[in-house]
Amino acid sequence: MKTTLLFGALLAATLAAPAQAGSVTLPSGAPPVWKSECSSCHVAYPPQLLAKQGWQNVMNGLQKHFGSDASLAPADAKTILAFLERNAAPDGDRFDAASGRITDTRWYGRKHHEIPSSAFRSADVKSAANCQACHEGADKGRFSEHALTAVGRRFED
Amino acid sequence: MKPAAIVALIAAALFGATTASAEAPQDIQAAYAAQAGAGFTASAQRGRTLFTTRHGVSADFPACTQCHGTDLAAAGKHAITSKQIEPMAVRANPQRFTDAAKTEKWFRRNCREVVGRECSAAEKADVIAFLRAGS
Ligand code: HEC
Ligand code: HEC
Ligand code: HEC
Repeated sequence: MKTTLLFGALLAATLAAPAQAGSVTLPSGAPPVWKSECSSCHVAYPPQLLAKQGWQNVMNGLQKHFGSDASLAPADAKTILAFLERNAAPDGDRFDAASGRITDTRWYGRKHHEIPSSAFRSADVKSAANCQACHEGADKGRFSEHALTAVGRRFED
Repeated sequence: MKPAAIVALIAAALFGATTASAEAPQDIQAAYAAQAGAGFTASAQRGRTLFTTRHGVSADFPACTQCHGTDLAAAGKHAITSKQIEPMAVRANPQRFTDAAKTEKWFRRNCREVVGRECSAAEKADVIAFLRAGS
């Protein structure tokens, strides 16, 4: 029993470890309101790609959310923030972005350093935050370099 | 519909949190119509005008159709994120207008952004009548 628990904890810790080479996964136990709310205008961005402060900034500014009105009932916002904080990346500079943009983190820059900024502005991508233009399974939290769309494969090294 | 049911629907629309519930498009429309006052009748034609007019408040989304498309039986595409949005026409998408709280939330957000203010209950009933047409 104890060993199973320990093993379970280790496994959970491994799964929750942020983003080594493509190992991004959506955490289990996500509240339904996060899924329905935070994936209605774009893919649900995995919580472990941003540190706590970034998520707090996002959730405090939903009324003016990157040019959109994403305002929420306070109870829903609270549930979502608690989930994001629980699964956020550890503090430290790799996943920090006061702007609340994953695409502003150093981690994102490193994973995509081969991609010219003109590509992010091209008609079939339009934005660095448009993960699903290049990542086949982005809506399910899958970002492996082996599951790129035709557009994404253009930028493979 | 009984007045109590109408009151309940309006209450759900105004105060409801995001719970999934099975409501019918005609009931959600009726609740807005009741809120609009005695003698009001929803008009799909007025709904079309609101939905297709270029209000010009936002540069990114001058009209509702910027994200929802002009062919309402086909999927639309979010003007900034490019994410696909399921069809708005009830005949093409039976999920439409089946959750009063969801409907109210998106009217609030999208009207503020596109029209520059919240839509009235009358306008919401008109838009639903327009999107129910042919179903
Ligand atoms: C313009 C296309 C494009 C967009 C947009 C894009 N990516 Fe990528 N991404 C790539 C490519 C290409 C690679 C593989 C790079 C390589 O070959 O090393 C990659 C690699 C990754 C990896 C590492 C995968 C691995 O197996 O090592 C992750 C994680 C990732 N992207 C996440 C994201 C997230 C999250 C977003 C949206 C916020 C995003 N990407 C947006 C093209 C894109
Ligand atoms: C009403 C539409 C809408 C809703 C609802 C919404 N967003 Fe967004 N979100 C946007 C838009 C638009 C952008 C900007 C995308 C771009 O720049 O390409 C964005 C961008 C983001 C970004 C930054 C992406 C990047 O790295 O550049 C994060 C993080 C984010 N949203 C999180 C959330 C969370 C968390 C929720 C749920 C509470 C949410 N969003 C709900 C519209 C929305
Ligand atoms: C910036 C993009 C965008 C614009 C512009 C926009 N919408 Fe939406 N709308 C959405 C998204 C995203 C959803 C939620 C996803 C879904 O329900 O498929 C939505 C959902 C809705 C719903 C909920 C329908 C239901 O099933 O309950 C209504 C009503 C609605 N929009 C009306 C409007 C009206 C009226 C306008 C113009 C005043 C408008 N929208 C403009 C993006 C937009």
